[in-house]
This record gives sequence, structure tokens and C-alpha cells, in this order.
Amino acid sequence: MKIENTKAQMRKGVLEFCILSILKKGEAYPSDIIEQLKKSKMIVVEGTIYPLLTRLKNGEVLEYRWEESKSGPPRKYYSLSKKGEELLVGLEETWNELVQAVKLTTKKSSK
Amino acid sequence: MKKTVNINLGGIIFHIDEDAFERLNSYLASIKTLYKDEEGCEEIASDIEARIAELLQEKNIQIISQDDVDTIISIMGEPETYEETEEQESKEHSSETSRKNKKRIYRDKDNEIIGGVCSGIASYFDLDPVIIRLLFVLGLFMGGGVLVYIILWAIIPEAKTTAEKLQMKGEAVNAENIKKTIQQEFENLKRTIEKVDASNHKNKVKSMFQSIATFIFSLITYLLKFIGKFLGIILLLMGVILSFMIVANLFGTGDSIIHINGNNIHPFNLSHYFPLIIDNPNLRGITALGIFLFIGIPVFQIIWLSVRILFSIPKQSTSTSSIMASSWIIGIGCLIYVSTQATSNFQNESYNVKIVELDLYTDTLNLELSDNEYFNTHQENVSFYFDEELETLLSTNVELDIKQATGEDFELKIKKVSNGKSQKQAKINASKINYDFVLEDNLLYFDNYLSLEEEQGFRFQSLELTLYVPEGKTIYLDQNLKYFIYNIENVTDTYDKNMVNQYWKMERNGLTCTDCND
Repeated sequence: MKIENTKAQMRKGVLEFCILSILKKGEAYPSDIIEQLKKSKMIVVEGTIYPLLTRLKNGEVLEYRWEESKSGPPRKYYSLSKKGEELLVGLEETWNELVQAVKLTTKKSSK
Repeated sequence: MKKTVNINLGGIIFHIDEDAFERLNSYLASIKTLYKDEEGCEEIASDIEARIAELLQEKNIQIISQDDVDTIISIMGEPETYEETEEQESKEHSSETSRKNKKRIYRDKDNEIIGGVCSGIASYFDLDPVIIRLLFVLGLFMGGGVLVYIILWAIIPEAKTTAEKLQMKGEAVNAENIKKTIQQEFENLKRTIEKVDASNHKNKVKSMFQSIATFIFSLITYLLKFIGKFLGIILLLMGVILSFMIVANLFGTGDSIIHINGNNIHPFNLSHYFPLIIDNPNLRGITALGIFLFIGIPVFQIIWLSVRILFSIPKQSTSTSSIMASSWIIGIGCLIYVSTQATSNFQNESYNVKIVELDLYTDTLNLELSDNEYFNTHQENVSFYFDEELETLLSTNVELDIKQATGEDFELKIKKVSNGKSQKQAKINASKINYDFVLEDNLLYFDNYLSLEEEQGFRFQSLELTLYVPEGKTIYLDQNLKYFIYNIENVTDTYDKNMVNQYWKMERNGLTCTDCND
């Protein structure tokens, strides 16, 4: 049993939830998302985000459009699809339940 | 002074030092390798490329150096690290990540002459392709090169994507890299220990032991892998030799490799012996096919297995193995069909008898085998020889018995026995057996073989000779008749092999030894 593995598993599910939450506020391009996630220490390296975004996009949770940039290569602006919005509602619910459940169990076991 | 190159990254032109370019290029390639099985592989790679371009542009530097690339990579992270946080299913095998950088064999279509097999092997072993090609050309003269090439062509995948091309040229399996892998393993171990250290003080000692155990275990795994490769080489050699033998025996002419019977050298070539047993040419084709499938498929599997072990090729798909298995069963089917058909040629047995009177002016007859170029006269077992020039099959299935004559003269009874489809056919077959003996004064020379025309076919032909000796006459049995005579009755019940080198007189009650030392 690898501790690192468990941590990664935990973080992975939450990471998707975080990305969806960021996008809920409005469309964003990867660098924006990365910045916010880095601030909250959800990710350490930037590379992590790209495969995840692509998977979510392929899963029809996210949509994107291209926008020309004055300073660099064209950017992909991601936003939530209808399916993504539904998913986010479901994830929020689950998250709250989980937080509640974890709180309860850790309290009990620490007694 | 450094050489720089121009690159187009995400649609923007950059100047980059050559060494920095190599680093960046291999970084991007490793990302592609990591996600090669995923749907959005190209997309992920181009997104990351665009991000790198953006980061580089923010730096606003004239020429990108290796340091800049290292900084970028530390921001983006090594692909292995996103694997850790990204991996969808928990990876039980720690070997999974190491496998990704491992070298695999592919056919190198960029440097091909025929199918890229040689150049692929060459890049796997870090050799010049010319050497491998030369070996194959040599193999061609020895006869098996083509078959081996075709098999390799069929089973080694072509390097199509960049990732595969990189894997093809990846790290060589040499001592230095093994050292490196073991060092890496050790680093991992150290890291694990540190982590365990930090997170769990109580179980420190136990975990240390556990980690050491894992380390030792992985060392053993490496060792086993080496033994595996070695076995692979042996299997490959075996397979190649076996396939040489099949080709030589089924389709070859001339002298072949298998020899039976230590006494004489018999070119044992299946292509000559089929027609003797199976007269119908269609059946011969089926037999050849049957033998080819029945023996060829296991040999092919051996070669495949060895190549898989040597070059770490994943297991063949189930459909391939079921095709293999069913062809093998078809092979067995062919052989069963042919043997039922062929046995009908052996259903009946019949014989043909001829009695020859021997004119003799002395009272003693010396019996001896005549020397011949085909068989040793001291040979015990029945054996066969196919004479290509005369197109005849020779067999030593001949035996001699001695009995008392009813009349005054020496007589030789020649009983020719054969099998055949019908009683009549068996009799015809029997009558076509050729056999020779020579009588010179008081010397009777026997041939120790019978001969058959090729078109007669082999039908268990045999020959039983009986020499009738009149009462009062004597015979001398030469040493070389030891295995030619069979079950001769005599007064002293002496065994055949003890009867040779002696004089035997035919008395009223049977053969009596006249010079035996009792």
C-alpha cells in the first residue's frame, strides 16, 4: 500500500471538482485555472492540468473556444457544458456529504 | 560559442541552443509516450507545447538556454509526476513507470531495405544495421534466413508513431543502464524510507525492513529478467534449428540432417519416404501440409516466445493464438485422415514362394553374406535406404532359416511377403520384390537386403529364406550371418548368435555341431 497513491487518489477526484468550480464562475483559459489551483496548492506542477482538461472535454463535461492572443499563441477558453453544470451540482452535493461524513468519523475515532 | 536552432512552438518562432533543444524535444516526446494510448494524446501534447511557448515568451529572452528549459520543465513537471497524480486506476506495479522508458523492438521503416527488420534489431542492440543484414544474408545461404526473416517481419510491430520510434531507440540494455536502473530503484527506496520516516515514527524499523525486502525483491526480479533473456536466446536457437530441419526434411533434396541407426549413415529424407507409403499424390500434399502444421506451429510458437522474451513484446492477441491452435488441430486432422487412407494399403497380407535347387558337387556348403555398399553386414536392426539414382528402396528385412531337405539336394526356398490393399494386390506386391544371392562352387553368398522399385511403394515387404540341407551334408555359418539367421532349430538348442563360425552337419534328428567345444 503506497501512501503517495492514496493521496493522489484523494486529490484527483477533488481536482476535477475544483476545476469545475473555477469554471462555474465563468470561462477561463488553462493559465488562469493553473494560477488559481497553484494558489490553493491543489497542484504542484502545471503539466498535470492538460491531460485532465482534455479528458473532461472528451467526456463532454467541458467545452472550449479559441481566442487569439496579442502576446502569444492562441488560447483555449474553457467553459462548462450543460452536462458539466449538472455534474458540478452532483459533485457539490457529494462533497458536502463527504465533508460531513469525514468530520463525523474522524471525530468519533479521535475520542 | 554554441549552435542554435530555430523552432516553431505553438505557432511562435524561438531561437534555442542545440542542447536545450534536445532536452525540450525529449521532454515533449516523453509526454507523447506517456499518453500514447489515450484518445486526446495529440491534443494534450499541443496544449502543453502552447503553454511552454507562452511561458518562454513571458521570459522575453533572445536565445533559450538549457537552464531556461530546465526551469520550464520544473514548472510543468516531469511527465512521471503527473502520472502519479493523474493515474486513473491505482497502479499496483511499480514497474509500470520504468517500462515506459524501456526500449522495445520495432521495425524501423525509416531505414528499411525490405521490411525494416534488420534495422529494427540493430537499433535495439545498438549495432550497425549492416552487421545484422550481413548475418541474414549468411543465413540465406544456410537456408533458414528467409523463414526467420518472414517470422520476424510478421511478429515485430512497425514503429509508426514518434513515441514508438523513440522507444525503438530508447535506452539500450547494457551494463551502464542496468546500473542506472538499480540506482534509480535505490533512490526510490530512499525516498520511500524518508516518507515513511516522516509520516510514521513508530513503524520506522519495520518499514525499513519492508523497504529493504522490496529492494532485494526488485534485485531478484532483475536477475530473473536476465535469466529470461538467456532462455530466450536458447529458445530462439532451438526454434531456428528446428525450422531448418523441417524445411530440409519436407522440401529438401540431397543429404539431410537426421541420421537413424548408428551402424550406417542413412540419408533420411521425408520427401523420399512419403511417396513410398502414400501413393496418391493428393494425399501426399495433405501429408506435407499436416506435418508442416503439426510440427511447424509449435516451432513457430517457440520462435515467437523467444522473440517476445528477448524484445519484451506483449502477448499475442487471443485471436492469433486461437488461429494457431486451430491450424494445429487441422494439422492433426490431416495426419489422421492420411493415416486412415494409408492404412488401407496395408490391409491384406500375402506371399509368393519360389524354390531354387542348388547344384553342388561337395558335401559342405559355406554360407556367407556378400558385402554391399548399402548396409553393414553386422547390422542387427531392420533399416532402409533409398537409392536416388536407381529409384529403389532397399530394406534389410530378410531372414534365413535352415531345415532338413526331403530329397538329396540342397534347396533354397524364397518366400516373399507383402501387404496390399487386397489379397491380390498383396500377392502382386510380393512378387515384385527383388532379391539376389550367388552360388560359387561351395560358397553361397546372400544379400542382406531386398530391393523394391520406387513405384511399388513400401508395404511391409519382407523376405523369408529357408535353406533345405539334405541328410549327411554339412554347412558352415560365417560370422557375418549372426543377425541374418533366425531361429534355426538344432539338436543342441544353440542360440542363433552362437551358431556362427561353426560347422553344422544335418543328421537324421537335425543339425548337429561338428566342431563345437562342449
